[in-house]
Amino acid sequence: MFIHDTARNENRFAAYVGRLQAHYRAGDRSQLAVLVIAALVVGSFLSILFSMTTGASDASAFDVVRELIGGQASESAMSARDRIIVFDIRLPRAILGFIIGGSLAVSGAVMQGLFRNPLADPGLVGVSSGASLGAVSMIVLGGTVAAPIYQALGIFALPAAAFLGGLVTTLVLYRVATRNGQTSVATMLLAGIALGALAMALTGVLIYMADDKQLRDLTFWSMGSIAGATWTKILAGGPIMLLCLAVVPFLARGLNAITLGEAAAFHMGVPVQKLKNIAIVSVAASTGASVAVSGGIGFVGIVVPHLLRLVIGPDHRFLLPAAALLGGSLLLFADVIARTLVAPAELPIGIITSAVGGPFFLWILLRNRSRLSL
Amino acid sequence: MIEVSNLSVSLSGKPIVRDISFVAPAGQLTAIAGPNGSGKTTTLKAISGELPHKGSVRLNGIETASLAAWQLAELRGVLPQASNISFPFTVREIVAMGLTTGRAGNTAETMRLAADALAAVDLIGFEGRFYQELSGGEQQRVQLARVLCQIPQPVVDGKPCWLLLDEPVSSLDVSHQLTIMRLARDFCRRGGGVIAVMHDLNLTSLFCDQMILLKKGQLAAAGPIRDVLTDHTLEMVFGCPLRVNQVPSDGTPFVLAHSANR
Repeated sequence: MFIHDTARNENRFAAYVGRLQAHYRAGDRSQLAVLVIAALVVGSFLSILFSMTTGASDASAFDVVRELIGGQASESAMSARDRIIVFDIRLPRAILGFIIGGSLAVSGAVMQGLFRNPLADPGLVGVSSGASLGAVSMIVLGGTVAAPIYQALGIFALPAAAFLGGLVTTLVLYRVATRNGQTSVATMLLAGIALGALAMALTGVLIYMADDKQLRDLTFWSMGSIAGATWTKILAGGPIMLLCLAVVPFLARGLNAITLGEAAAFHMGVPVQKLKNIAIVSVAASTGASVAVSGGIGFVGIVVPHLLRLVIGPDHRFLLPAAALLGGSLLLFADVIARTLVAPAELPIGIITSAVGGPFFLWILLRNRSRLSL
Repeated sequence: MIEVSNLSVSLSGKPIVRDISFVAPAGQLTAIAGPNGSGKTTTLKAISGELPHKGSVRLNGIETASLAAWQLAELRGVLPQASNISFPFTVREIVAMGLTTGRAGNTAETMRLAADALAAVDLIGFEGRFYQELSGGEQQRVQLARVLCQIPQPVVDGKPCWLLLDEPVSSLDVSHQLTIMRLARDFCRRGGGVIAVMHDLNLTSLFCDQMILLKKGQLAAAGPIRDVLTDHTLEMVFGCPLRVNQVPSDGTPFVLAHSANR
């Protein structure tokens, strides 16, 4: 009986793999994409669990799961100290890290779709710098000029300012780089450099003006880390990022069409201008929110979508959810490396992502050198 | 039918097309021809609703400016000139995009329509190939298959559908030029309408029913092929002494460039 079942399951498995291969050969990667997304969902849970159980204080995965399921009622194997570490320090950190990683990857993918170019990334083309400028102005001017805004918005003031900075940069960039519905890669990258430099110069002026306490705030903030994750920070940045993650899948078909050109997208019935507006606002909002709570974390937005395109193809209906899951998981792994590599001290996570992302970006450039025609 | 009246288009303040009027009836293949830079593509773009314009363009009696993008997409498909794509889509994924925005059916129906469209442009077996790795002519036919997925039937609910083709045969070999022109003619015979920008006067003469000749953004001549394709009109529009000749057997006009070679 048992042997018979195993044989039948093996047959079913073989049939499934055969179907997958047949679809793949016929140019249809949707079945494969669904499989990959399912695997990424499992991977995401594992990465969160991994992030919660790794660190200076020991807590086994088994204990954490039992604690999560049983809550306070169960007879706990964990000490009160461990419980505080795991649930008040590591859990918010894991959640925030996952949301930020997901947002960065999805913003990258959306921006690449919008610009019809695999090199567009909020971090590379100055959007993050713009968002930083917004955040820094709020930190420096929050006590004086921008005090009313700071008082009115409370913990949301920083994400809101970063969002505005990111939005203005994205709009200017789009205006400069896109002509008659065609985006020039060279113009986009060069305009991004110019806008980033301008934003950084203005940020420099603000830092020059800052007092000692503000400088300390700025330094910690700009290192790019999710170390300071608290439930308050999740409340400040999380909803914006989650909202963008929820909106973006509705853009998927439109983004697919727009990769053929804005005119072709219009011909296929896509309301192009509306799509662009929503895409730009959500990229700016989620970049702004993630910059506000975590500083600059580079390259997630370019590495994750690119890796996924190699496996499941560029169809945004699958690329966007897969990017959210993979981006979140990868950032959590980077965070675990950041806090265990030189333990008990911590590296800023931005260093890890850039150290991996920089060479990766060069590899993409070299691979596509003939195609990009810069 | 498509009625174009007093159409004018300016790009960056410069008038490209001035005061063009013509009618393209359903069931007929209408060619737009003329020298380079005479406003052929601009005219087609204005008809497709892509460019803002003065004057009126009516599709089956409805002003195109009053229709939303998705409403237009159900009435007409547009084949653009060469388009490059920077993401690694497979042929099947590109072709199926034509289905996602129109009246998408179930998956089996989608598969069948995509396969039919690829067969129609002679690309059977290309489903799994990457678009970026195809030749220019193959890419052009993939794009046409995508358009055929968007507009699979020449007539829907008793009303004609339209194909607007910008130089559909420009980068094709002679055999595929014939395949695509036959496809366009069949679409018309079955009740739909086609407007195509054409450069090849012989293919125009062989397959098209009527011809719109443009010169410097203005209408130079319009009407049935036999009326437009004359020595006098061609010399006036293209500025070189072309001679229109006839094959004795059935009287189909043809054009040789030889006569201009003095």
